Amino acid sequence: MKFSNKDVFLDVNQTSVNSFLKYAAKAAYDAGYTNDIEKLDQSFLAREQEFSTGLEDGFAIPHAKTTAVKKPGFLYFRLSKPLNWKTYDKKPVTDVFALMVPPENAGDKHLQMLANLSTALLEKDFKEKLRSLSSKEMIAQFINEKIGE
Amino acid sequence: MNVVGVSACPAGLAHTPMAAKALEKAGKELNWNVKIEQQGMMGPVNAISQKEADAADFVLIASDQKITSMDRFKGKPVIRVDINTCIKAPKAVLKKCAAAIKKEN
Repeated sequence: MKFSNKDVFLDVNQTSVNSFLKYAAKAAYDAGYTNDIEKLDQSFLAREQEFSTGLEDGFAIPHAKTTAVKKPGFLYFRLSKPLNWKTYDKKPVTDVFALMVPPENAGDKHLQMLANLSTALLEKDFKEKLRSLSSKEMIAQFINEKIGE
Repeated sequence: MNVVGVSACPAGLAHTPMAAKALEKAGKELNWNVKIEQQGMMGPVNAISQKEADAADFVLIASDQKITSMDRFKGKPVIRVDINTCIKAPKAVLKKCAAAIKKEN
C-alpha cells in the first residue's frame, strides 16, 4: 500500500456529511479501491451512525469495513467549505481521511499503516504540517514519510 | 501509578490504536506507568502479561466492546471508559480513574 497523489482530493465542495460520504465512495471507485460505490457508501454511513468519526482540530476519519473494498487503503480530502460533523471539540471539519479495509485478510502491514495514520492525527505537528502543504505530490510524499511502509 | 488496560473499537482499525497511544502519552506526562493492549483487527498488539497485570493499581478498559482474556485482571479494580473520551481527554481519564480507586480503598 502506497499512498499516492491520486489518493488526494483538494477543494472538495460538499454540503453535508452524507453527501460527502457519497462523494468519498465515488472517489474510492475512481482511485480503484472498490467496484461497488453504493455498498461502500453504506458502510461509511453505518459506521458514522454508530458513532461519529469526527476528531478535533477539524479532522474526521470515516471508515468502511466491507467486502466492497478491493484493497485496503485510505484517501485524503481537503474541503473548501467546513462540514458540520460531530467532533470532540465541536469544531467543523475541513480535513478528512477515509479509511477502507476488507473484513478479512487486510494484511498486517496495511493495518499497521492505517494505525500509524490514525495515531499521527493525535499530533499537532502532523496536522499543521499537512495543512501547510498545497500540492498533491507534496501531501502524498509527506504522508508516506510519516506513516512508513 | 501503575496502569494497564485494553482498547477496542467496533472496526478495530483507527480508534483502538489512537486511544492506546493517547493514554500512554498522557501516562508519560504524568510520570505514570501506563501500558494499553490494543485488541483490534491485528489481534492483540502490545499485549499485557500476567506479571504486568498483577503489578497494576487498576485496569482501564477503553471500550464498550467485548474484551478477551479478562481473567488476567481478576482481583484488580477494572474501570470501563468510553473510547472516544479516552482519545479526547486521556489525562483527565487517568486522573479520574486514579481518584476513584483511592476513594474505594
